[in-house]
Amino acid sequence: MTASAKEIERLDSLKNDKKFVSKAFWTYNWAIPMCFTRERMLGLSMTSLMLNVAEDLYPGDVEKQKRLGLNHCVFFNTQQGLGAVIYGTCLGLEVERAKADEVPNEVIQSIKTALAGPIAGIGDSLIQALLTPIIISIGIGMSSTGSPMGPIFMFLAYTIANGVLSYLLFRSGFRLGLTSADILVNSGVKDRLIPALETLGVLVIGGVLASIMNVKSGLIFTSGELTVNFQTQVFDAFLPKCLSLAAALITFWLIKYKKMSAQAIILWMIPVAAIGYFTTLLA
Amino acid sequence: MASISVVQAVLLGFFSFITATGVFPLGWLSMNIMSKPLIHCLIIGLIMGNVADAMIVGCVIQAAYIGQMSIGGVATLPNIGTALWFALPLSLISGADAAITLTICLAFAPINTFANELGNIFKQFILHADDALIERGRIKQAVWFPYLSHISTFITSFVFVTVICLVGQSAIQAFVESIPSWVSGILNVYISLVPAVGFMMLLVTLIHDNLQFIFFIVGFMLCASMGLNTMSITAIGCLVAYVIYLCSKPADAKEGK
Repeated sequence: MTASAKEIERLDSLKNDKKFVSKAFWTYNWAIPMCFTRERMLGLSMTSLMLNVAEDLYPGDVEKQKRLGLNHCVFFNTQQGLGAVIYGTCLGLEVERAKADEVPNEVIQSIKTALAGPIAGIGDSLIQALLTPIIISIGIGMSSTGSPMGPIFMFLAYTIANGVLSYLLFRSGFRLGLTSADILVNSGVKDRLIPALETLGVLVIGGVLASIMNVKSGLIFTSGELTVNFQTQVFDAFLPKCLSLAAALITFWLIKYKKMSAQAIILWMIPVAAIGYFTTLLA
Repeated sequence: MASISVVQAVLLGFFSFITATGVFPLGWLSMNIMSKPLIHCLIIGLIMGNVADAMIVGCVIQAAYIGQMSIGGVATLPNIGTALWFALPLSLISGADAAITLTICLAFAPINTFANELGNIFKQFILHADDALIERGRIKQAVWFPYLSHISTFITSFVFVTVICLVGQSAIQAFVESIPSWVSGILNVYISLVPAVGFMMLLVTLIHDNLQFIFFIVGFMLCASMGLNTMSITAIGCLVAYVIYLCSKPADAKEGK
């Protein structure tokens, strides 16, 4: 069943309708934090987005609106920021489907599932493991002496970067459909960008670690007239904060090569701290 | 003796609730950053009227939790999201430090996880109630109905935080005063070690080749030996990253992209 010519014209105009795009984008934005369950994860946010635009796609046709909603009542999970491109693409495909029944639901669902994995892979490494920690590291550096600037900077930097990225991806997903997702997943840009950002991350983490961690030794060696304060005369002379660096490297070794969980290390640090304190090796 | 007033307790509970929902203040745009302990600490500091101390404690806790990632909804470190909202205020009024705050948070983490599990069962119920609404053609209601799932968030955050802030004061006060000096000595050593966990968890995901440790050591020394602040180190890091980006260009061109 094909919609009337007038209807098709209206649906086509949605692609350039700024009001419609921003309505859909804000629904996506508010729907993500709504009800995250293990059964369907982000599935409900997609359902909610579709239902909120259902009236634009199928005016007055409750049966078709129901069908649209129920089709999206399935499991879906990705990284939400870069995943905006999937939400946009699905919305664009649903508009095509509303025009003529040529796009079957199975196609939309399989595109949704096929994109979710690769996008989550890029998004988790780019945003969760790189961008966010770099922003937090700068925030910690700003606030470690008690200034409130750190959290304010973190909020502004992250929200603006995430907002611009999500909006542009959502819009291009909606307008260009699969092309934009393809560029994101297959272009060489990510292969060049990720190693560069990783280096930035590693370097900044090194710097912030040095400013935050302060492992000291209380060891003092006395022999007759000679008194050696290990912290100031030995360790600091060798390299400032070298004990913090050593503690960090041991932790890295435990996580990477001994496969210890972070929770286990946090617990094991208590006996280590106790032994260090009583032997004055650590203070 | 300082204490937490009812108004402060309610405010703490309220903000712990709206940050836990992920909605405040801008939905998804701010959802992930609003789950970070340092931001919680600023709000707590503002409510308690002691931003400076809250920030100092917050930085230590944030450093330990910097590597906290949630991939597929699974957290990698004990969940301290709720506990911080009463542990920090109680520590602030009893003059306790980061070590004690973190200890209280970690002790509460299993209870928090259990409460979240109960909340998940409730969310499951909301999910299927929403399907039923669509089935009956009540499209407008079905759009926002799932927000009701945050009733469980309300109980696990607002109720917990407000009640513990009000009734827990004397217990925490007594606990802090009864700590012998050797225990606080050990806790101080402990807190100096803890940030290593968060940072190193992150580094494990970033370092694929141990030669990349050169960048880490350089970053470390820029701060430890040369005394540069984080902004300056970030600028140098951007320079290095850009050089690496430029260097990777030819390989890309060969593929014809």
